[in-house]
Amino acid sequence: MKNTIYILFVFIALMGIKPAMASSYTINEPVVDQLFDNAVESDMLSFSSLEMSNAMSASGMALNAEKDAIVAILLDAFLGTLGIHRFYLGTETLSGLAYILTCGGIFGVVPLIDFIVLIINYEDISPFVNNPSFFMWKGHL
Amino acid sequence: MIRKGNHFDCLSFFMIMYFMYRIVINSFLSIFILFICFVSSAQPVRYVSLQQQTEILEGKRKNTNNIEIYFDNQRHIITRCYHSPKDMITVANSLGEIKTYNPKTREVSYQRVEGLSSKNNVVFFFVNNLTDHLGLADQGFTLVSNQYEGQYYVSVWEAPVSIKNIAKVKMAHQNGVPVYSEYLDNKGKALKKTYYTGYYNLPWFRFPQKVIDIAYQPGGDSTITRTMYKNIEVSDVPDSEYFNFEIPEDAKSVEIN
Repeated sequence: MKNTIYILFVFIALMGIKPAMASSYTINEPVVDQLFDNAVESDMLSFSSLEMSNAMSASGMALNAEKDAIVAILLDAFLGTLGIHRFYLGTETLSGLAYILTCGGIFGVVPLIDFIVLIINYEDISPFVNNPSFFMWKGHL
Repeated sequence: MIRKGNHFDCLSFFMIMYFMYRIVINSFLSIFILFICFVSSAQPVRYVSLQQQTEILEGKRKNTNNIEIYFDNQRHIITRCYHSPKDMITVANSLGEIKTYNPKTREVSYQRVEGLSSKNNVVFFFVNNLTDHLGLADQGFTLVSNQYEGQYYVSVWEAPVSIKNIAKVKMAHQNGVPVYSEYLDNKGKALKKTYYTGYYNLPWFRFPQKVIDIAYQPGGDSTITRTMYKNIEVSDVPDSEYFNFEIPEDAKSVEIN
């Protein structure tokens, strides 16, 4: 009897899981339509941004993520204690604000390490772009 | 006298029949998908024109752009006529060489962006029925898994080493056409989700009426792009001057900022 109930439970669970996973491949279009209907029209985009939105693939996404290493280094050198270089590179809001909350990134230690790491990895700073961690070099040293 | 094992035997029989049913249905679906791909690929299309309306939503602000697209499928040249925010005509070839022309100021600029190649956009993939991976394999992505999840065929593609910020792409197909794709970073977090809905069924190919992109920003915000396609026309001869548009010779060359 116990075996029967167990098998029945597993069978019902399998029947339930598959449809739940499949529903994540559709979107609630009326909700999206409502968001657009409620939005205000503006000329916020530049022409080049619109061209980028036409880029189809992963390489299009990679293009959007490119940041200038020199800009990041200069921002770190002059405004590193405020975490401005992290906002430029892209990060979680809290990670960037943590530089201010910890008295300039633990009294300037973190921005200094960021500065050294950015110089060393000048040719490829992609691991630090859109890095949500406070210690952006964690795992990359 | 009823044996104790009778209940277990009935349940086992039912489960066996259920899994056999799933195998048969999935097999028919696979054969159907292959048939559609074969039939569709046997008839190449030459000139395609369509209208695209792109709306980009950030917060509570949106930007709407109406674009006319003219695609030469033999020479792989795509011409886009923008009417807002300003009148512009761009011509892109398969190498990503782009000429941008402003008809009012008669200025033209040149650039090369591989990601904006004429063979790297929705029009190219769907017109040529290259919908199984939408260009991922051409960019070095490797298929790592594929399986059926109910009515969906789900495939997972791993990014090449050269693409840093994307680890995997997950795609879902339904009835032989893509309905969903998701870009994931190294931590499995979604960077972008794309939904393809409302397919037009044309004699040569199937084309989505609506494509919805949700790009997730680092701060928790997201940008939603809704692209709608309509008035798709196919012809064997170029019935518009914008097919393979030639920049006027007296256009002034300018640098892009």
